[in-house]
Amino acid sequence: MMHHMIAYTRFEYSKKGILYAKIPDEFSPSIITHFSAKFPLFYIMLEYKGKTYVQKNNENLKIFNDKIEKVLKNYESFLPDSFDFSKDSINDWDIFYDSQYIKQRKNTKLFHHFIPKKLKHLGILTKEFSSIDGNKKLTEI
Amino acid sequence: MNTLEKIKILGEAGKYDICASSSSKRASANNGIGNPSSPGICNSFTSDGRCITLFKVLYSNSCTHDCKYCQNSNNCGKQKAIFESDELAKTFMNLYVKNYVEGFFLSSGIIKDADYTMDLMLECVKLLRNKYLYNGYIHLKIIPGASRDKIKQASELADRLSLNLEVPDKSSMSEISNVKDYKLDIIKRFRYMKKLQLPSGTTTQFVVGSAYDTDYKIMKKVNWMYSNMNLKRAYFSAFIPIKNTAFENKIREKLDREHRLYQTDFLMRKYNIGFSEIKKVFEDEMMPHEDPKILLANKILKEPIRVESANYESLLKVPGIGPVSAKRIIDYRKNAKIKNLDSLKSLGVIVKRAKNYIELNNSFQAKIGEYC
Repeated sequence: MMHHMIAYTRFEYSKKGILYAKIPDEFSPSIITHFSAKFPLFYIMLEYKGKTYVQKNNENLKIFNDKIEKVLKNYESFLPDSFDFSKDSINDWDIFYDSQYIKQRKNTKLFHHFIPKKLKHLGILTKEFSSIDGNKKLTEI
Repeated sequence: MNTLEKIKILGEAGKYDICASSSSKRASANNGIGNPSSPGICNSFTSDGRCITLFKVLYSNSCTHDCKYCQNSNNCGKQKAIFESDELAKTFMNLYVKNYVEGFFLSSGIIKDADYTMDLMLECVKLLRNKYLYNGYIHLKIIPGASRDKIKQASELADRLSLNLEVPDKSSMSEISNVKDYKLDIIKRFRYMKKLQLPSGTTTQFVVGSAYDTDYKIMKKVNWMYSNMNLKRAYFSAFIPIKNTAFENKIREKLDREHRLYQTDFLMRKYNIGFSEIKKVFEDEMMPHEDPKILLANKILKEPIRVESANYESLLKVPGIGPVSAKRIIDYRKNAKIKNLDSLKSLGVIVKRAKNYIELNNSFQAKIGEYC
């Protein structure tokens, strides 16, 4: 499951150099150490069960009893501007994801071997599940 | 044309290229974005069950070559597109930092000539490394015919380089392309690459069934590449006819053939079984529709392997025993005796497959034993 948590967490980016995400209750906030080591230049923020975990460069993990929006606003108020990766990536991802599919090799069983159906209720991988469900629009699932 | 349209066209143009690993032995820098050492993480899977771990696109799908199976060949009539280097670098970084992908894969159709195309690709990779401080995994395709200098530059920026052989020899190449020179454009470039230090080595890909090649010829070439070109691994892609290409009416290759070639490749690469042994199982130079390891065991194991005393190499020849379970057996034997098949099962052996090829406590379960 740890593997799934690391692979399927999707972040948003604040141009103040903060990567933030809300993770499902089934995940573990301990994944923050992985991302914090991977992106040492950025603050990593995870909201988990109403608490917000913040870490940078694998040092000084802080836990706030607040929602992520409040903590994010607070950090943004004192941090300088960083890289601008704040473009909404959902469309880019959706288009790229669709472009990689080879119709002649469709293999639903193999897909579910790697992405079990039980993950569907977590509200993650919406593009992937909508694709395997017959390219329905997200609102129809 | 906007970026989304380019992602669609150039993502589709690159979808038949195969790449798997996103790991690299290169040390991660503390002052960069990302690291190259997260093996096995697949951030998504497509509906065909293939892993999406890298942002895999072409720089451009314009191509001067005429490969008859290829959707990007110069006469297939597809809409053409080309990225700007900064546009591509930024699009990738946006997806990378948000954890949609684990690395970057860049290839291209050939614009003008090989070196001109390499320059464009290198420009994009340099932007990633220098402007965006990207420290993650990069897999870069070498364009057939690229100069030694461009290949060297690529090796300094990328973790892995690859160049597609597509077919096992010169005569097969002439079946699929009138332009590519097999020895000059491809093999010679591998000779350049083998002298370079690459964190993740070099790879290649075969389009199985695009020309009339046998499995024997393909695997013989793969073996030669492993022995002489320091190839890290080979990929196989079953030929699929694509509309408006010269091969659009050619019969599609079965996925089963691709699967058997991967199994055979695994035997050579992970089980250290030599090609001189593997070639015994080919029938009319084709791999039969059975697990090559079982076929091989039936040919070469004249008597059952004694699990209590066999060395690592012998254990690996038994179906149902892989590199991990073979090592576990050897470690386990140092401290305890393997009593029965259940003990083997607990060590990760697939007993159902292995039991007819092993001897345990002086007893051997012959095939007829299953029915007693």
